[in-house]
Amino acid sequence: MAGVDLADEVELVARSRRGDAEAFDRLVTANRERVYMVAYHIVRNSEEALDVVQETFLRAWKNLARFDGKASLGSWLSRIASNASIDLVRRRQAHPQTEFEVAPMKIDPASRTTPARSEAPGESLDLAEIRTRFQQALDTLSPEHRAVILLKEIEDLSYQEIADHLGCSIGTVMSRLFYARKNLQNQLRDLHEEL
Amino acid sequence: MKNFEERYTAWMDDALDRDERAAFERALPDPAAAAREREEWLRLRGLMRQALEPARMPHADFVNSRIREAIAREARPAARSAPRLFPLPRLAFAGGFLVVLACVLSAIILSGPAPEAPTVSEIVAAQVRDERNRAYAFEAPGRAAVLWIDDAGFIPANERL
Repeated sequence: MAGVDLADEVELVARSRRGDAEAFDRLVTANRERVYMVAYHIVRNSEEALDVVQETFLRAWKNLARFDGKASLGSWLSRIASNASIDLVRRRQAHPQTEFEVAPMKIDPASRTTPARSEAPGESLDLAEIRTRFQQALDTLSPEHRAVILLKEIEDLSYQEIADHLGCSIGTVMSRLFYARKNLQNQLRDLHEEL
Repeated sequence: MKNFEERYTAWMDDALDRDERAAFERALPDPAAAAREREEWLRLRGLMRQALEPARMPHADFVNSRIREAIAREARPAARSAPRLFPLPRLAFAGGFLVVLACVLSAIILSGPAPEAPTVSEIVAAQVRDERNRAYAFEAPGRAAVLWIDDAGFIPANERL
């Protein structure tokens, strides 16, 4: 946990349970990035991910008495965020309104008008187009599969870390990775054949 | 690792030890196809890492104040909705009701039944000096009282019936 060791965490949790807002604020600072990461990779929209972060910490504040300390606070918060994000995606699927956010392109700081070109591999492929293809393919995955593959391949987390974040077993993580990879490979076959 | 999917994923990620890897590859129905698929995935993963970036939270410090405000907002309605014994609207309603009740009761009392007939007849008998006058009073069922003055020549002007 960034900036807060385990002893500090226990102390801060105890103070927060007694209603100490300053102690809770320190816990927020120490965990907000990981909570955002989980939320963002499931909902794929920065505004909604921030809403999930807020909801996560609000739920945590109300339910701190239920936190038993068996897992780390970070894992507990990540699971709350994961569940809240999956709920949000399911609601969005039931009532589609929000478009998935396409991440801004990398702009070469030295360039005046033109975006930086992608380097090899795929010199002939436009990076924006590739990004759009990945976004579209990821959108077809279930939120659970999307979270697993992005936490593994983009955030470079271990199986154990992903399991902690999502509140599932390592076996489930590996099984989801298997199907998510197969799915992406099938959808993007033309891309990797072009490489 | 129990099932095929888990062992396949570990094989793709090079997370098997040498013996496990050898045993897994021996069990594959088409090792060459599996190796090709692995190579394709690694290329696709490289492209994916180029195209997609790790999540970085925007306005990280703003998040704390947003959460503090949300917690404060949650606390406020709880205080406001705490049950109070005599909230103002309830008191106003009760006051109005009592005023109306008092008015109705006053009206009922003021427009109540006429004085009891025996009392009236006694007054008349006392005030009318003519000895021939007779006063009979009887109560009818309910609230009505009947006063019958026999041979009354007059009723004194100061007597009100």
